Amino acid sequence: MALELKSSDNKIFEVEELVAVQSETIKSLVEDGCADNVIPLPNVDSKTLELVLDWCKNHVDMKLDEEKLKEYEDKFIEVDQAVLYDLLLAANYLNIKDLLNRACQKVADMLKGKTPEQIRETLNIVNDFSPEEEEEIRKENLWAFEE
Amino acid sequence: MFSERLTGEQSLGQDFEALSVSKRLVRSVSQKLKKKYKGGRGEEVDDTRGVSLRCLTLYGRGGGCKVGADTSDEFGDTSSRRRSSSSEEGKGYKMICGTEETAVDCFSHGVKERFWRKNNRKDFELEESVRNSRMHIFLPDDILEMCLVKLPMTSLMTARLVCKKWLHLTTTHRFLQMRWDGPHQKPWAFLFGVVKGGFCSGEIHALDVSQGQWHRINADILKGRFMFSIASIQDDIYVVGGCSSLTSFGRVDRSSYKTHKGVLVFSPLTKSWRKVSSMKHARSMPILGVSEVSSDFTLNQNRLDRRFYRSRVGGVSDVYEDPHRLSLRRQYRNAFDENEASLLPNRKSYKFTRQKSDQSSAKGCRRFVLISVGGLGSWDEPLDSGEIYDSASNKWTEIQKMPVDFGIVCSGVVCNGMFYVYSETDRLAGYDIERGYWIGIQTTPFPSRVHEYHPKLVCCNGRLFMLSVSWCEGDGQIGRRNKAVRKLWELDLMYLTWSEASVHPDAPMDWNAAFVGDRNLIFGVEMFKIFGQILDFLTVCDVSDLGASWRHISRNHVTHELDASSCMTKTLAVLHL
Repeated sequence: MALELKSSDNKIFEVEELVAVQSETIKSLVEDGCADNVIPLPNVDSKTLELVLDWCKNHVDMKLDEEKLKEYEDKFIEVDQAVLYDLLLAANYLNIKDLLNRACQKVADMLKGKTPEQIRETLNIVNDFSPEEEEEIRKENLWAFEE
Repeated sequence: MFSERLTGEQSLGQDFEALSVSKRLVRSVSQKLKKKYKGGRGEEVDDTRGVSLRCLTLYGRGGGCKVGADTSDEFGDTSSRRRSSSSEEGKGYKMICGTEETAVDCFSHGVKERFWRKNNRKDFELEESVRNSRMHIFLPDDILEMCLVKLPMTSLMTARLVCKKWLHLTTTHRFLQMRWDGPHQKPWAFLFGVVKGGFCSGEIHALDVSQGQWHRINADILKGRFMFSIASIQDDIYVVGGCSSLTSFGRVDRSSYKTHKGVLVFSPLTKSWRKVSSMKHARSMPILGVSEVSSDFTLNQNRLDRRFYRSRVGGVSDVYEDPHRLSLRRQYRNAFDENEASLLPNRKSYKFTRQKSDQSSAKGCRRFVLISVGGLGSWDEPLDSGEIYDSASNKWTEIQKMPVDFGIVCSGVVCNGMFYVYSETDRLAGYDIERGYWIGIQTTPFPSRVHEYHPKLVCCNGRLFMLSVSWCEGDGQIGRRNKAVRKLWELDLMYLTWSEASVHPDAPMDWNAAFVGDRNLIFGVEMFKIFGQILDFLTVCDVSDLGASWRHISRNHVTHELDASSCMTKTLAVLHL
């Protein structure tokens, strides 16, 4: 059973139902009988959709081989921030739990071990604390670090 | 990627109608860029001219973090430009796209982008960021939450300092609950009761086991308190009882001190302290046991009859067994304890949160009981009384006293709804929490042990273990006891037989070594004085492993400057954070 998915930039992707229903969103459409025609995905562009579908397909293929799957996942998620961002939003929209999890983990890994200033710089966030506020929170949250 | 962008540029104008992008300008810029990047020089862009637009901006709807960005002078245009620095904190910012309502989302990493902005906000030219902001304006809060929840404890603390939104997102009850529910937490070992220079320093040493990193928390509220017992309950550590010197505050002074009834609760996640109800009896070093109970648990009332082992009938008069009970002086002393709060010098350095655990307990209102038995009373007398604390009512209730011939309780732990206690005279009893009475437990003979070392009971995943020091046959010399060794024993709860599980690698130098079971791990800390130095060793054992072997996770970390009395006053608790 093949399904047709249309990206935001009007590209059509034909996929097996088994692969596509990794997305809970698509799965519920199929179950409700709304998947006969092309399924439009206005929030996902073709580039991202292609990646997402690759993820889904590999998860079907490698389902039984945990080690191989992990290797694939680790390699898959090595993308630049722009793509990671797109993947996050697509996985959220399409409700693909394992992809969303992995992408969020990648973001968390990116933030680990950085100082607040480093995080702000990486993500271009402006510090909206006043120096007093910052000092107070620092005292409350950051335990004294030794060694 | 670039060519894709360029062909898409025609549609850019349409897409950005609202943002009034000038097609001409976009085209001219992209052409310039095309030339620039053709040589594959994307990464070599000059710092001083370009702006590095590496940003994963994680906004919320309206009023989240705003992006500030440097503007570039390179694409000289007749309209004036403003240079604003994103690194200047609190200096204000300019919205990159259009109106106030649309928060900008720019997401490109590793590729130096150029964008510039005219003074007129509505009119601007963007490159890569434009393509991104076309699709998504911001990263929703729930996705941001999902990312932050996966951070280890120390990174989470750092994340709170990034901006107000992140602080708020990571301290909601919901977030903490999400963190608890997921597999994100790692064990942390907390060492309390260290003494420096004769003073109970109120320092808590926390070991992030997975990172192997120590942290120190200053807990002024604990200054001066020693010989308390601690127990980890959900996300908090309960500090129960203890003593403080009456004559010289803060000193470990056993000549003149008072014993506390009070119970303090420390919540590492929010680094806050609160008080719960005090015990009925002042105790130092009580034996504690914690058990989660169902919400319809009721405290049983068979607690006041003086029952011994269930097989015995009849009893002995209370008066003769417990003369202190009728002592007026003792009653007066108890009353004195009520005023303990006023004895503490006024300290503003800690904060109390008086309301319910909402803020600090991520587990919400999972009901539990905390049992406190034995310990030493106000005159250093060994207590045989016990009490139980119910988190639902925030009240302590007396439970049935220890059987009279049980002896002094030296260790206890809850396992499968039974609070097992071990006495100095090698007896084992269990308090059935549900039914509310003690039962004596006959096991196969306890492993024979070195008298001064009191065994410690620990519970791991519903299994009961005991650490006991015994003499070991010397190497190659059968029949000669010349070495003491600490062994881990397991009690088969069905057949009540002891079997040896493993041998601890360290020579048992610390008679007051503390051991704590946590899920499938047993953590142990030993502190002792040797050659004028205090040494400490932290070890861990995984009981789910067949060999249950021990490994060292820290040596000699905390012990410079510590007093020998730390060996006696130290206690250990393990939390998952």
